[in-house]
Amino acid sequence: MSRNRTLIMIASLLLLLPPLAFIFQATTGDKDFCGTWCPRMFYAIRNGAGLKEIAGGIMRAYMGVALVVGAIVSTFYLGRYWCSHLCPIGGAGELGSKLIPDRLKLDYSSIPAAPVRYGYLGVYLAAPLLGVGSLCCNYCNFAAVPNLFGAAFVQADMAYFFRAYGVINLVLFILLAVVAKGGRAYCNFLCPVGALDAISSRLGMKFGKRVNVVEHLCNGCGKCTDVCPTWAINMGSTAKIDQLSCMPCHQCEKICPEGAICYGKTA
Amino acid sequence: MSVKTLLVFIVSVAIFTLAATYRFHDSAHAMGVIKKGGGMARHPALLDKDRDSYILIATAGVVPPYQGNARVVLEGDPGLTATFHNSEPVLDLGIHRHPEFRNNTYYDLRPRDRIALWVKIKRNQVTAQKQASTALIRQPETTTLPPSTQCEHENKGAATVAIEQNNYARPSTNPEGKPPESLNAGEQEAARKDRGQGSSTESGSRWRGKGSGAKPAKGPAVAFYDAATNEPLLRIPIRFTGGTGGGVNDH
Repeated sequence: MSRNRTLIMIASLLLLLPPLAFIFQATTGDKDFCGTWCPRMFYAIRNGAGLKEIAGGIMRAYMGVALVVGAIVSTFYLGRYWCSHLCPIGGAGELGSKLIPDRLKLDYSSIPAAPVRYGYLGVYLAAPLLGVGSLCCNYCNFAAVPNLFGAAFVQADMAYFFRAYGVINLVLFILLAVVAKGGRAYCNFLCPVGALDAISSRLGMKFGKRVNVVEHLCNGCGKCTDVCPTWAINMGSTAKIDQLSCMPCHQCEKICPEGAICYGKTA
Repeated sequence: MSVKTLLVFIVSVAIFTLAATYRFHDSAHAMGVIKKGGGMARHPALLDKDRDSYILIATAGVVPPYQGNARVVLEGDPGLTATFHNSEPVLDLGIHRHPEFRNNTYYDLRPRDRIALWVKIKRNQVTAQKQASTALIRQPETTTLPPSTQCEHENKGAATVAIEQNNYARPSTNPEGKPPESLNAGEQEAARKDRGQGSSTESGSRWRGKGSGAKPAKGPAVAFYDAATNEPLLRIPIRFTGGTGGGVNDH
């Protein structure tokens, strides 16, 4: 699976994004993540919402609920494969960044990802609950990327980018994904699904499989930190992997000359 | 937890809270129901009055037993023009049925269908400003001329259009942007009309062909009508905000 990761990401793009959007058309008849498949809106609960309204939100986006629950459960046992292999939004950013020369890329690795990500998630959940506003929909990678893929074909998708939020989302996607080193800064900072998934990854690290460092084999050369798209590896005398940020892309495993990184149950 | 981590967290929360609270009113999303006898939107679409173009996203479900063809129009303000774009799959695989949209009409809507319509709204700024300027400049002049020599249709029409336009666009100033205090008598009269305070019989509804009754004009709205019977199916009011008067009429 790790060997074919790029192919899996391309397949995910073809199956989930325009022009084909096969998964949506074959199941619910939607055309993208907006609607039944929305993986974000059902947990952005508005101030004063009763149980009926919350249940209504879950029912409206039942496929999105299934997607998020499925991702969280699978992550608990296997690691963040949804984020690393299957998510077409993260995949689009990472594949896009492969087309950009390295010298033009922005390196965000000096910014600690977890506090930004959980600052975002905290506001994402609290702002609508407190009635001060919402990050949902207006700043949405799950809306922006499919519209970007569809804009060349459908005027409604193009119209998305004729408004301030469309432009902002496009700029965020370009700056934090396409021209970012590793192509995953958007996932690392601004994705609420990724943030929830990362919590599951951390909580399940004792029970499931993760990418681990065999400390006595690690010589601290630091090659793994250079290739990690989510800057999840901290280098001391040996490498240490932060399971809150790690996606099992296996780049570190491939590049390690000592074979000190492997995917499996934590010892 | 290091100081850097804590600082980054606090700064992130501040930035994202600001982002969550700030609204760009060049676009709005309105949800509603298409219903026999007239469905309603959950809330009006709020847009900033000072912009030249807007995007309105209208999503709606079809409530049984309605079935038929639905025509979509932007009505209530001749200073605005709209183009409609139905949100549909790029390549329709034909697995699920989607109502067809052409010539601003949804064909073969059926119960429980869902539609998503992107409405690109543009303000006819040049025309509207020109008309408004013409109306305001000519207004004192027309009152002094005998009725037989007045170009009544043209002037009243222009004034009405200007009034309608200003109801939504510039309620407290004239087209040159002067504050109300610095306007001359004729301009003040126009400004009063702009704010809906005038007692003129030019109530703004004449351009719709509804006569010059006292009933104030309805505001702009994206409206769905049954193509066969012209029965209203859904009305999404648009409210322009951001100033006194707000461009809000009755809804």
